[in-house]
Amino acid sequence: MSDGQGSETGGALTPDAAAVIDGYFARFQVEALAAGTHGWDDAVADLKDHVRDRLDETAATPEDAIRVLSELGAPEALAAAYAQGLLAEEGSPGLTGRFLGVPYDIRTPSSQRFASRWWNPLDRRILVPKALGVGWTVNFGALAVHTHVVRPDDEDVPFAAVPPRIVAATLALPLVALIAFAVLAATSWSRLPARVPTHWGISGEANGYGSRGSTLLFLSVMTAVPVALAVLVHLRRRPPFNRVGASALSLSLTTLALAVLVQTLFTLGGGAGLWPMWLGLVCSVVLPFVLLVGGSRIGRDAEQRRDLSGAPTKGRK
Amino acid sequence: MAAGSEAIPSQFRKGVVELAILALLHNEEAYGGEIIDRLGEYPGLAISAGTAYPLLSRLKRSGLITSVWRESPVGPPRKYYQLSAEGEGAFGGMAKAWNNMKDAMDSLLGRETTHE
Repeated sequence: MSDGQGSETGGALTPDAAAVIDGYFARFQVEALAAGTHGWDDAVADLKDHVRDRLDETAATPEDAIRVLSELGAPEALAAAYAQGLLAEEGSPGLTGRFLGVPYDIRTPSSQRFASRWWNPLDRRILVPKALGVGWTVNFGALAVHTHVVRPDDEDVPFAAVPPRIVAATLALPLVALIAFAVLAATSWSRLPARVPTHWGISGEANGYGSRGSTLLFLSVMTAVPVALAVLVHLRRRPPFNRVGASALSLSLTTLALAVLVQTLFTLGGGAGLWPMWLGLVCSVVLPFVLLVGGSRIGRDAEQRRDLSGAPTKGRK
Repeated sequence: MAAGSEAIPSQFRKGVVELAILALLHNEEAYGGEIIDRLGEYPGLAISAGTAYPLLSRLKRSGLITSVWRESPVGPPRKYYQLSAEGEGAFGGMAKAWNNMKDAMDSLLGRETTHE
């Protein structure tokens, strides 16, 4: 904000012209904050210097200021362009980068970033840096492109054309999985011994145990927190992209927790083998994949209906 | 792609390929696969789908191109890209700048413009 260092030395700006410039950048910063990204101060300082440089060649009247600022475009459009640029280059040194070749990202998580890692059909890489934490995660968008179930440019903006009620309906899937988990946990609680298996060898024999309470607490948190966050993303009316992404991510984690619980009950019931866990693992990948691909298909179909129905109209923005 | 020093050549190539896409679309609209195939006819301009689609997406976001779904005579509908009015203007300016640069570079590199 306080970025006047040295840049005032140029031309003598009239107070009116300075007010015009400040007003412009106030609007810019409001938009920038709304876009949810940080690190704007340098950009604003650079832009202000640029504007002052340009005004040096003029009489620096308010009219000149307005004319120079209009070259930058509307502050809203400029902020949007900067948001995309910043997101693309993944700034914030220190909070994101690579350590020993392994990517990490410990910036404040955003539903936008989670969604853009999980579903980015434009990026051919199937493994992409995690949205939060250390390591890689699966880009289901690349998986869908490689398996030819979607094309990279099927949708202009992912899920943007999906009807709002379908976007909202995607939340039902993690909610159903959460309810299934809760019902199963509640009905089996009394039958559980004090110590329950929590870890299994590759052939399915239990080789790690934990207390009944802490195990169930851990699993409950693992399913309830992502679902609660997804509900928040939906309630806050985030863009459809963020909302469908949040539904898919919470569905995956809830499915995983459900699988661990089923495996625990299966082992306690005398079952041999690890197939509930494996089945759960497969479901935790396949279900979100189907959800994301389905969303993309619906979005694409909506775009096609818009363009192909009736007279061959020119593409709208 | 190019082995060795990548950073600058890849940025350089990106700019040139962007101009090449605008040039293609200046003449007629085309769909994604078509653009990749047409550029592939020029060895120096060949790009993969992994490069082409992000580039198309960026050109579209910046308003230089638009897209519209059209029925295909074979198979499913295709998304066709075309230059916007803004894109036509930008293409004109870029083509002019390219010609100036090309002449300057040819003389700097000590070559006659032999291809004709």
